Amino acid sequence: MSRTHDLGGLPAGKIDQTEHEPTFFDKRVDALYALLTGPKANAFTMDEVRRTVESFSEADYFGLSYYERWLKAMSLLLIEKGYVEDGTFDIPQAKS
Amino acid sequence: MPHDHPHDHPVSRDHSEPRPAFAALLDQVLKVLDDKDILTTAQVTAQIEDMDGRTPTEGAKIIARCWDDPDYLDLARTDLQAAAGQVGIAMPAYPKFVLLDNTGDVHHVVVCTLCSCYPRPILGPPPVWYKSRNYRARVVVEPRDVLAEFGTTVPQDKKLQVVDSTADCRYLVLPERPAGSDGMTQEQLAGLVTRDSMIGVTRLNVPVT
Repeated sequence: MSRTHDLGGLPAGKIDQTEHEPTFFDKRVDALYALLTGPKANAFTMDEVRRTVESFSEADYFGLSYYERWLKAMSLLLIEKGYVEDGTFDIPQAKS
Repeated sequence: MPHDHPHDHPVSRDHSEPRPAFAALLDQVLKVLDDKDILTTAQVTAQIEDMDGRTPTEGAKIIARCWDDPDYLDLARTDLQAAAGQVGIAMPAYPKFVLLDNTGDVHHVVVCTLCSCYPRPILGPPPVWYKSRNYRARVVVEPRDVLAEFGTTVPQDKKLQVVDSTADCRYLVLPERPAGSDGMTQEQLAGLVTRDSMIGVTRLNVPVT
């Protein structure tokens, strides 16, 4: 099992404190996450999104932005759960 | 040499616009969900508006009232969801929310080492640094050094408690009420409270005028 996400205690450098105003992309992915894991759509759970993100390769986990990771995970879950057929989405593959 | 470092990782893209392939994927997902009547564009817009209304300014109202109203403080300590509701913040039934009192004896700082859990209904989305690899990795082992990067000195003889959030339990730090804030109204008090103080990486002061 990948432990890429299990970062607590690992050596790491200075923290970049630069602020970032969420982009329209960020906000829409955030909204999708809230809605698809929410009681109405209930398409999948928060824990399933986490499990999917945590199974990413290091190239994806560290190479994608936070909201790119969420979007990729939710796209994979929509296929896994049978909401859409495989091949419906062009899901970018990690290069490493 | 940074390139020889075994823990070297690509620079985070969290301050950037998405790459075109991801922008296109988002459009595909939104269209399919709309076509299948799973989610409408109107629902997505409404959800964005809801989240835009959730900011540290809202969370600051809880803090100011905790400082000013002992009965409310008791409620916030036992049922933060209900306390947030009383200042007009619509709260979900789940997960659990917990208030952490910073005092003269103990300073709390919050992290989510595994991902990005955060009291989003109260403070809005977390800052990028909170989600960053370096914050998540370091604050649990060298919290005094990390706080120093935020300009915060916690004396060695003061207990420093690092609290790791989970999907099931989120934390809001109640910062120490700053000296010199006696007699202020709740609105004035709320104006002193910053996002970072409610995460626990900074302390508060009354600005010198």
